[in-house]
Amino acid sequence: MKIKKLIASSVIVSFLLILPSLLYAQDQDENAQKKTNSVKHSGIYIKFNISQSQGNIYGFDYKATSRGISLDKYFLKNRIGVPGWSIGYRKEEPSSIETGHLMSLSAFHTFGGDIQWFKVGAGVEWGIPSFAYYKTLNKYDENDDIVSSKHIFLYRNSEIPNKLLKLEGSGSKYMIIETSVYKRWKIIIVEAGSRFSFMKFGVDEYSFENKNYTFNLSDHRRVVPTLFISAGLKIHR
Amino acid sequence: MRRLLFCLSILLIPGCDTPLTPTGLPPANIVVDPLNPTAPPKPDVSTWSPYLGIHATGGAYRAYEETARMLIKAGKLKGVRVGIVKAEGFNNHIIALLNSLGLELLGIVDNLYLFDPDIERRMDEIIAAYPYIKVLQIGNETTSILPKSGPTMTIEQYMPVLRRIYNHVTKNYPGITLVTQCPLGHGYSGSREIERMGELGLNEMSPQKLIIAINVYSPSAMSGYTGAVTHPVIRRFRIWVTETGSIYPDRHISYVQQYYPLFRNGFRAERIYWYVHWAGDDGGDTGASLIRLINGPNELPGWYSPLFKALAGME
Repeated sequence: MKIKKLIASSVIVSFLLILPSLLYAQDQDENAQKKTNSVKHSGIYIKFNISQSQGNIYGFDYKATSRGISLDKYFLKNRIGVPGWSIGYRKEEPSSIETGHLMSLSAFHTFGGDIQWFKVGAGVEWGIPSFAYYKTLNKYDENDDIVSSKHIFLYRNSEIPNKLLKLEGSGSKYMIIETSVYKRWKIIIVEAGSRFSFMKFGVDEYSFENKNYTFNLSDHRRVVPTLFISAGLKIHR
Repeated sequence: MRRLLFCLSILLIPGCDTPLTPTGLPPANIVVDPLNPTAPPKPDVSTWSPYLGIHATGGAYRAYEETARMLIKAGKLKGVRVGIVKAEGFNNHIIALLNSLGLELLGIVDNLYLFDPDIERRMDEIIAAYPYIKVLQIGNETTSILPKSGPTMTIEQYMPVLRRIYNHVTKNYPGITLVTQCPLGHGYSGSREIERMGELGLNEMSPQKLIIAINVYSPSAMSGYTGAVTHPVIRRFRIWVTETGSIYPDRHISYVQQYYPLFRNGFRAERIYWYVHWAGDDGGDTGASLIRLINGPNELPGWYSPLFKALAGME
């Protein structure tokens, strides 16, 4: 089982490492169309974004705010349906230094007119999550003795980077899909949309009835939506 | 419009992270009594867990008796964690005092006992000496607290000793619950140690008879433990935080308000023991104390921390 996970993680990481160079290579021979609108808007953009995720998971309310920065590369023209890719860093729950550091890498496809577009992207997010998705509800009796407890947590399922850093069990990785609309004016870009994170949660219930300790552990996958807005500048053609 | 957006994007840069205060804590929350809204607002200590570490030091008998009664009366103390020190023998009258007050005792089996070749006999002696202690913690920071001059113990050496004690106690003393040693409360080493325990035979012990202990003093330890308790083996066990606290008395209340909920949410801490009631009146841990005996030993405390005052309802 561990070997399977290792292979799967290796494939994902290899893909993520190779993807930028593949896409960069495809961009090399695209110098002929410099007077088109695509030329005007191709290039590298730096974006600053804020996002918020809020809702209820397995009976617990959660709310996570983030601020982040990303680099988006728009090619001159599409190749294999990929007009661009993005690499980003997101700080979830800005008040905590130790947790909530997340990096993402994704490729996206765009639809629409010249400067106003609809965009769909897919990729992976990895990092040390904040405490936003860790919740516990303890119930106590009239003597203040615990009678039950329910705990949810985001799986720490990232092994390869953690093994290298000797931080076993501290990272999470999951697939993300983003949909957004964006508009560009010369060097300015603004964007708003939703990110859907395919997260794996543990939902554990513990009972202490009559001093008899029992537990029920289960795992679930859940799509967690996040709304974001971003604004940025073109920094390279 | 373009300029506006440009300015907006620049303004977002310095807000990417919020600088922390030196101790990472905001000012304490205060609450107004709804039944007496004109009364001065009080600090909110509703996140407190009614458990406390107590050094069973004989010279503090009178202060311990007085202050423990105050906290019990206020409903803020149910149990205490005390050391069963090998060098003392078995006649610690502070432990007897705390038991007489009706507190639940968590007894720490001294690390030095763990090197005894006849550990089963030693456990018999401890249980016979303190029959009212129903929860025993097998060591405290065993891999980090022992002096390097020795004897020292790795987690690989600890686990077979825990297994022997577990086998002996569960067979002969069904009313006793065991608690594991608590790893170091700073950095990530403690969480790695917890996971290592999961790989070294913890899965062959019953979660009904054994509780996992955690000491936590730093954000990195907190982050590490949050991941460690999701380990497939550790996930089955109950979690107690057996030590935490702040050495800044004016931040004690903020610490309880901010971190206690994180301990419960992050690694489902069922109970949290504050370290410590009194750590002596000098030395590195003094600031964590809830009381100070500045009037001398066997006197009532001459100083109470803001947290103690809030818990005891002192004006």
